[in-house]
Amino acid sequence: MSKLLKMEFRRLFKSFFFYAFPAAIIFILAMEKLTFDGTKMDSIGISKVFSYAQEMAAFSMVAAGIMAIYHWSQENKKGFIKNVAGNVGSKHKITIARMIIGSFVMTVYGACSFLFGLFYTLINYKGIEVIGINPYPATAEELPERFRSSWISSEQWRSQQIEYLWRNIAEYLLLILAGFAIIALALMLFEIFRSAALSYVTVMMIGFNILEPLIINLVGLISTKLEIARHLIIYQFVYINGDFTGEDMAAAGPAPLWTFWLRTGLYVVVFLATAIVVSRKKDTV
Amino acid sequence: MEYILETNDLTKAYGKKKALDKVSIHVTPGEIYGLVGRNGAGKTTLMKITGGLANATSGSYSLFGKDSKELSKSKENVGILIEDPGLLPDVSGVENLWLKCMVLGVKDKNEPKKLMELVGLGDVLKLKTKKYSFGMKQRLGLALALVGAPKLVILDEPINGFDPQGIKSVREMILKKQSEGTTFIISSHILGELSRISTKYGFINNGKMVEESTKEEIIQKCKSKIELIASDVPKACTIIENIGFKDYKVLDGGVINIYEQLDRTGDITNALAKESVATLEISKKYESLEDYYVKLVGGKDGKNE
Repeated sequence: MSKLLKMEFRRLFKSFFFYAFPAAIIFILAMEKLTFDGTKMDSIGISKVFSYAQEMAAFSMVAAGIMAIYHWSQENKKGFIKNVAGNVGSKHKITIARMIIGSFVMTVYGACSFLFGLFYTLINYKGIEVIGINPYPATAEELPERFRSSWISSEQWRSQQIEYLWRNIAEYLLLILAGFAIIALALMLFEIFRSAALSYVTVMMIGFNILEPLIINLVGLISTKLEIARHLIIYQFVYINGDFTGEDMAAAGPAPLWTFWLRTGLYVVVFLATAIVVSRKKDTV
Repeated sequence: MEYILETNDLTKAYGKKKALDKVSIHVTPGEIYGLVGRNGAGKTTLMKITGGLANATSGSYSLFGKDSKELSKSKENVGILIEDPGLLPDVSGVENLWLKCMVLGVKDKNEPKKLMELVGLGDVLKLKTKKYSFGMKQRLGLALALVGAPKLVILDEPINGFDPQGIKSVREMILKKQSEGTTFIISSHILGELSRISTKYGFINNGKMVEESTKEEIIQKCKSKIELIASDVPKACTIIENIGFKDYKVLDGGVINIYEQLDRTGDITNALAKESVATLEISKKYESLEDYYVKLVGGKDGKNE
């Protein structure tokens, strides 16, 4: 298994797209965030950093998903899998290696999105705008000074940030775990259909928030009593962030964060287990 | 007898269609086992299953004496080239080989280079495989099958796309590896080439193993004949019957094939000359592997009727 993983990581690190995807995503986000922003922060803290990082993570999920599927499909499409599948003993090792690679890509891209979120928040806080596009009348000399004093010595920062820190970290890690669940789902579809197309479409539909609202609406057509949203991979973040104002939710109160961890973890296990079973049953080529 | 590969009633079904139907083969160490069959006969399916790329619907097989429970470790000793070679296009041939070396735990960094030289690709070590010609890809596929010096190498149509020199070099390479102890299972449509190297044959047709024979057995079974072309065919037939030949056949075009008493060509020419029938051509012919195979599996659709 370790030998197979070494090979897969070498292949990953030699892939141009492994570097190109996050570079492209960051470039697009940078263009969007740094050239035009309708709001200017007057306070700053960890919550804001995580909040932006979570916003970026949706992009990183799509990028990581696409990269992972691309990596797996190259082996199958080009037939290289024929050279190694017969030598690894049990075929499910390939599926596990693929999951590990996909999770690694997700983690790395997630970290990139976090760093970009941090970078963006600090840039935004300091009032630095791309010259010529700053919609604010404030001069460049005034803004950094004013905001910098707030960042370093704010009472709000000292009293509230630590309190929120752990929840923010837990939420962010949950987002990464949700990314693993999406990778596992894509892998399961890839193993079942032996085609990358459906996996690509699924990842993009989840990442761009199309699939889950679609499922919620379809379920809603069947029954209005079925509360499915909080069980879906990404949509549950609506609950976590308290954006959901439905009566059921208000009556029940916010669910403990660990239930979301458990749910997302179960997704990973179920999807991966299905992928493993399918890979054992199906022929490699 | 200890077999390096043994299959027992191996069956592979795709829905109702059986690609393999209770196939049993027996490959002993050091053999070059020629798998002979027409397109769709089941050769590739058999190779995929024994090479660990596909699952059998029923039946079993053992590698190096290990059955299914202990099979996984044995699989490291099998090299395989099935259909077209599977290459990563954006990296060099050496990198393709090194990736497989990593999977097999081969530590020698020179192994890819040695294999590239063995298959005649020593001068394109750094060239990306997307720039390879078909023949070069096939050579690299062969090299990939040989990574880690496997004890058993399974090659499906290995000389496809090779020029005559290429075929010769592949043949020499296979024979060299065989002399070093490597066992081969090879399928090829070029039966003439296969007959030059194989030490045992498995004839497969419509998913069933029709016959498994050693080279010596095949030589004995291949029907030899005297091929006679005479100026007067009906008269010639009467003459050869008079001198004791009964097993003969007149083909379209007047060629007479005689299947017995092959050492009596002199008697035939003498008898014909006495009766003033000219012998235009007489020669002793041996049935080729191709003739034997066609006779074995039957006509156009491969059904022996």
